[in-house]
Amino acid sequence: MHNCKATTDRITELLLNRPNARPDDLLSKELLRCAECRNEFDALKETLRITGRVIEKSEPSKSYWNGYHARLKQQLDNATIHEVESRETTLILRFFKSSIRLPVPVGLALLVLFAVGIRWATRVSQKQVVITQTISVPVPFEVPVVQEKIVTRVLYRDRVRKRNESSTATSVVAKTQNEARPAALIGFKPLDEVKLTVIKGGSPDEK
Amino acid sequence: MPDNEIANSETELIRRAQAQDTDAFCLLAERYARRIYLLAFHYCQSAQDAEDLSQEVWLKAYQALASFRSDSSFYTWLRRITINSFLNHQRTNSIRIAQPETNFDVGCDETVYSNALFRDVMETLADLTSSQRLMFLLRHYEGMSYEEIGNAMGCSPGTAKKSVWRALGKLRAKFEVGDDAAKERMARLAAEY
Repeated sequence: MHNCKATTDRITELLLNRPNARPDDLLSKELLRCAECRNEFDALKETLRITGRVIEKSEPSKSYWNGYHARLKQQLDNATIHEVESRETTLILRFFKSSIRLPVPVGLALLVLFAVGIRWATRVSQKQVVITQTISVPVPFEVPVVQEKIVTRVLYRDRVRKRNESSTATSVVAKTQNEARPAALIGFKPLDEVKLTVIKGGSPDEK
Repeated sequence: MPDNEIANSETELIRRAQAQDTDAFCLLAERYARRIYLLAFHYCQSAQDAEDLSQEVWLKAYQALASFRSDSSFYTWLRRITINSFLNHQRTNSIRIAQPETNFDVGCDETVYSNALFRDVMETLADLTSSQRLMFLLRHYEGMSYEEIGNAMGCSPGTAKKSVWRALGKLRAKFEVGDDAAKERMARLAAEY
């Protein structure tokens, strides 16, 4: 018995596969029996054939393809250069980001070992600091210090002269003066002339 | 050239391209660039976007070529990359889809009817959703089965079939033969093609 829906399904799939396909014997009999299915077959065939041709006709000209392939080649070359650069950076990144799969107990054990190791290392370093403090010997070194030299000078006062001023004569005084005079003035002869230089202008009232 | 030799030379080109030989990869691209471009053009409905999208497909293919294991044909593998690229663009909306170019040059030898027909097809395809359009193109232009389309696009074969039929129904309605003038026009177009 003829079924239009089933026939249309078969027509559509046949033409979708090959728009120029000829119906097989069984389908031909169905199409001969039903004018509606025949019209459907013709319409679908033309639609798919035209659509297929339009799709094929959309191809650009030959000159377009030369430019297309040149652009593609350039993009591929750029991509190759970029890939080499990125590969170098990823190698470094991979080294830092690399991970190793471990069972959880092993991982925990390693973590504990690491913590203990850090603790031990810090304690050892603290001990070393203490030892270095006890062992350290002060090394004397000379620091140049500026010392003031104290010079003591003994001054002798002429007590004899004072004592004789009131009681003895002028000659005696001279004699005693000569005796009391320091050795440095012995032989000193004062000049007969006295040079006196008056410097004027010492005060504004002076004329 | 016999098919076996073509296959062998393609295998050789793939091997060289896997060793970072860009010239070998460009030779591979020249073989399939037209198909990928046309798929991209009818998917995104723009010549400029089609070029960007198809070039992106080739770049991705070049970068992923080391993972190609010859389990399927090179074009099947390439088409998978193409579909994934299209779907990524669809998600990110980085290309403007469904903006048909009405001034696309179809060639000076074409008739006025051909140009009008071209516009009709383009407009009808633009009316579809991007998924429907892609499924229709994969079924009709690429000859993929509904199972393959479903696998590639992450939907059931039934959904793929429904989308393809819906698209076909819209196209058929566009070219539906009504009066005698339309019939005559249709017959003339059919004769041209």
